[in-house]
Amino acid sequence: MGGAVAALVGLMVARLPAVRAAQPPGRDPRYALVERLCDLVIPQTDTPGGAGTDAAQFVLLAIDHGMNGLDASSLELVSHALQAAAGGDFLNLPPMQQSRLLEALDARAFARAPTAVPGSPEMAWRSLKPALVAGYYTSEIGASRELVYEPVPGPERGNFVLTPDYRSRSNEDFGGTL
Amino acid sequence: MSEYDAIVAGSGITGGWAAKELTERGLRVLLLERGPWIEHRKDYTTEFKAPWELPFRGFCDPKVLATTKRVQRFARTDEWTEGMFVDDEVDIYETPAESQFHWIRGYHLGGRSLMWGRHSYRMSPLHFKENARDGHGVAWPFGYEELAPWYDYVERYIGVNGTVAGNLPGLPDGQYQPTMGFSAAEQALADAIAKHYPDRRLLPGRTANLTQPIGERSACNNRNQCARGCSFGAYFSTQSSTLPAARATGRLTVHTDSIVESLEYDAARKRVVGVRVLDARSGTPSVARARLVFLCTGSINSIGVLLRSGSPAAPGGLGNSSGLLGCYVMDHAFGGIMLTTVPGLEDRMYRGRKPNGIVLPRFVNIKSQETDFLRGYSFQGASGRDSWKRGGHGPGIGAALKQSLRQPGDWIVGFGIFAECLPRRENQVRVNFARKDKYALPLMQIDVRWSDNERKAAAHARSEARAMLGLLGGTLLPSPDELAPPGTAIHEMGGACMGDDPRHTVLNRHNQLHDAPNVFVTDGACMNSCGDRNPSLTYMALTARAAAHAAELYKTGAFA
Repeated sequence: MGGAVAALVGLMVARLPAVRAAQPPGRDPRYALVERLCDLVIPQTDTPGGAGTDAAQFVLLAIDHGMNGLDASSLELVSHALQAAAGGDFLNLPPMQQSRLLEALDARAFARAPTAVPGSPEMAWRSLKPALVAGYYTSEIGASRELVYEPVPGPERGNFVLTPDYRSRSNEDFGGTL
Repeated sequence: MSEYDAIVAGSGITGGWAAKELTERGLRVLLLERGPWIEHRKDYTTEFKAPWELPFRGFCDPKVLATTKRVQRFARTDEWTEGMFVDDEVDIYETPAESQFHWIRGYHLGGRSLMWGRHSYRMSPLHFKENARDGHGVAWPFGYEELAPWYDYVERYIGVNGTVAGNLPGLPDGQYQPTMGFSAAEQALADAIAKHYPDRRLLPGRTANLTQPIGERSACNNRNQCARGCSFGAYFSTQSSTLPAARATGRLTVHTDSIVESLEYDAARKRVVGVRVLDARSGTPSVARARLVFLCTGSINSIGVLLRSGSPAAPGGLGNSSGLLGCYVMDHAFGGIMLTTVPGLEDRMYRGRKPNGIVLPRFVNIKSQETDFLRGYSFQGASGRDSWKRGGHGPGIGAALKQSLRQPGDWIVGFGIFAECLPRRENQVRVNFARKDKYALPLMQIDVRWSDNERKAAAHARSEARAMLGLLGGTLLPSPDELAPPGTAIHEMGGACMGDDPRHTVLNRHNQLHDAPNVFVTDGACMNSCGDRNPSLTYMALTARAAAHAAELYKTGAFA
């Protein structure tokens, strides 16, 4: 039996998907923009924002592996739109201006009567934003400091009335789609 | 003389039950499992992993979903559970384009008992009568009353939570642990349905998750991640329940990595005298011997074993003198998921993540034929509040978005549709002896197609679901109006129908092959009709019943 267990462990390790080693922050030329976008979507408040987590590494992984329909052009489209709106240097704008420009793109992308068409920056943003959000809320900080990580809720169950200090459980929606 | 009295092929839900019942009734059993060993607790390797500890944070790699899990993904796999399912590039089979059967499997000790949906409903008396009544399929050789005490027996042993609803026409009651109850949204839907539809009753789901401990098995901790494996033993699986019971007898031997290739038939004695086994790692063949055999390898694989067991005396496969082996294969027609938001409950929340939801038993064609399709459908559903993911799918960025995601989003509740698939002879499983897999086993061919009856039933169900969900005054979310491919309900069954006449059935009323009575088939292959609900509880009841009969026969010397 011991041999069978060892074989099983080997099998399961072998089945783990091969993941391209994440580049150290700063070496991937895309990293600075993605990290900034993460922090604009989920900024630091009383808990760290996107830049205080490894969300950006997840977003790059998602792009490189084609999650949620993402590909290299997704980030490029968003980048070009923001660069154009910024007059050429989005990353060096003051944070408030960066936020305003991204907010405008976000509003167009999610407008009730969307202007997004395939291949547009708005459409790219609609694919990219879920990855930014997932990157944050599945990071250790996002899942367990910003929200409550509750791996074993316990046997008690039942309905209750929410109080203002209630904090959502990150575990409610792990897995599935972005 | 063999060191075993019985061989049980397959260690999933029915194989585990066969091993337990036969060993507890005094037989020495060899349990064969084609996959590797999974030890309870120790080998649930992803159970306690946080998403940040996984390469894809719990989401699956799209490349994996497009290749090695391109079929298995329909089981709603995630990065925690995908390793529990077979490799679609290794464990191959054939299905025509018109069928596109999705064969979802787990090849390891415990089989799909580790990943099953755990919903445990009795078939209703009506289900056992309808083949005879409308002429589709082969009539069941017994009625609900025959199986009722075995349902009692199984429910008490595995632990099913639920409510006693007064034996509704479409759903008999059973032996239940305390229910997991309704969430606020589910209660609102139940109340609305009760008010508008006197003949319909929404109930809390009945699942094999403990709400009270049984032996070393703990009550459920409301993690809702059962398919990773549960170290608390809080849901029924081979590992948590039947395997320990069988091992405790001292009469169980388990061989993993042992694929059952075929059965050795002695035509003179009309008896199977051996089980041909392939070592999954080395390919080395061997033969195991015992006086009786339980085939529990899953419906399609059990049919495959019999079809591969042809001989001059049984040229079309063992047990196929009727010519019906592999015919009348079914799955439930999964008609889609309909969801609505639920306004007015914003201040209500549910503690924990109960691995259970709701069920609405069949309400059509109960007393008379009312619709333009035969038989019926049932609904199963669930509820929850929109999660942090909504932040990626709507407008807003910055601190306001972050703050809003600290609170739960909208309540959402909805139904999935299980429509009964009529048993049709042309829905078949065969073997292609010309093409082989990596184990040199000929490929299974699966051809199951939906008919207009399933399409009409599902369309009717969708319309009714939308009307019921509309009572809540929320927003109905978009849903496709089409049937999912056969196999995706993961309730494949049939192919070795039961009956008293060997000319028209494969198994007798005790699950024995007419052509070789020391072979019992008790997995889903034995089902004459599929009803409209999860079948595992029925498989377990049939297996326990057949094992009791086998043990009695054994003691009388019938297999000597």
